[in-house]
Amino acid sequence: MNPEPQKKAQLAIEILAGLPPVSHLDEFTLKRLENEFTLLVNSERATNTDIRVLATIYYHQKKYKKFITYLEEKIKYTKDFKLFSLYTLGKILLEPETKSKIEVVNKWFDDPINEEKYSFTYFTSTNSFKPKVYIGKGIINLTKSFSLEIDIVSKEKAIIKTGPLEFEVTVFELFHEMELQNMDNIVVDYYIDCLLNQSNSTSDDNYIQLHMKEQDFKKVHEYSESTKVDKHKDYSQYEAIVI
Amino acid sequence: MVVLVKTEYRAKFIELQKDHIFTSKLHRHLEQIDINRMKGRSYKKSFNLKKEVIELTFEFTQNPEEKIMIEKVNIINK
Repeated sequence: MNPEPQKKAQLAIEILAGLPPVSHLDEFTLKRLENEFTLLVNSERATNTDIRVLATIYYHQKKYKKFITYLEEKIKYTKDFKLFSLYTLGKILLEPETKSKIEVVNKWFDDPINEEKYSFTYFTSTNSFKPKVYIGKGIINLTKSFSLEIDIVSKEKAIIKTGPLEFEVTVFELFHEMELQNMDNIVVDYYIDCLLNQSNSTSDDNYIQLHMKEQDFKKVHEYSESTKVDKHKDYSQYEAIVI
Repeated sequence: MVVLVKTEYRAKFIELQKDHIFTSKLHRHLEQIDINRMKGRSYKKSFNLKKEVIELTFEFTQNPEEKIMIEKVNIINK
């Protein structure tokens, strides 16, 4: 039996909440939903939202190949922006290598479906098993990972937002660091720059402190202190290098 | 952008520059740092790479013109 409109809408919202790595829906429920939505998308009253829901169900079932081929086929004739957006997100999450992820981003900006060249935004978590940050010889263990909003604004540039912090990285660095599970470090690195500039706000401090123990938070602050240099220091033993 | 690197660390620094991710992080840091505020000051900054942590000690001169000096290059294996 097809889901009733109200029930269907509720399911759609729940399922389309994103493509989190761990679904809260069990495999039996997913199988039932797959059957219901397969019937629905094969009927005349199917909408692109129904197609998106079915694709997302495939993703949650870890039927990744099916997720990709199904969306590719549907995008081909619907040219639907939201389907293309879901496909792009799935590809970014599924492609293991930086190079392949960059190709997905290039396709996002080159494809006529995204004629307006909209940026690509998605939410993710650094989600490391044991999040840690390297500072000099020291290691700081985080009590939890950072939640990130990734805004890919062009083929080359992305903006990372986490709590009150917001900063720019290259798309290459973004994906490379994701591949290395190094995103926690990127956030703390940026915060250290704010401390050096003394441009950190109380909200920035409180947010970072939420992710580590008090003694580690103090270590980050101690590390970010600058010292005065002797005015008469001899700089004859230095060589210019273009970076 | 030009930096002045202490002669004893020159070779090490040039080798590090072959790593695209290191140069990318270094550029990002130098773009973010407020050079005016750092004039006449020194600080350490870590760059986390795949297998090692690179710690650079920066110094910013005050006179006669502002220059970015790299006083020390420390490579720490993870």
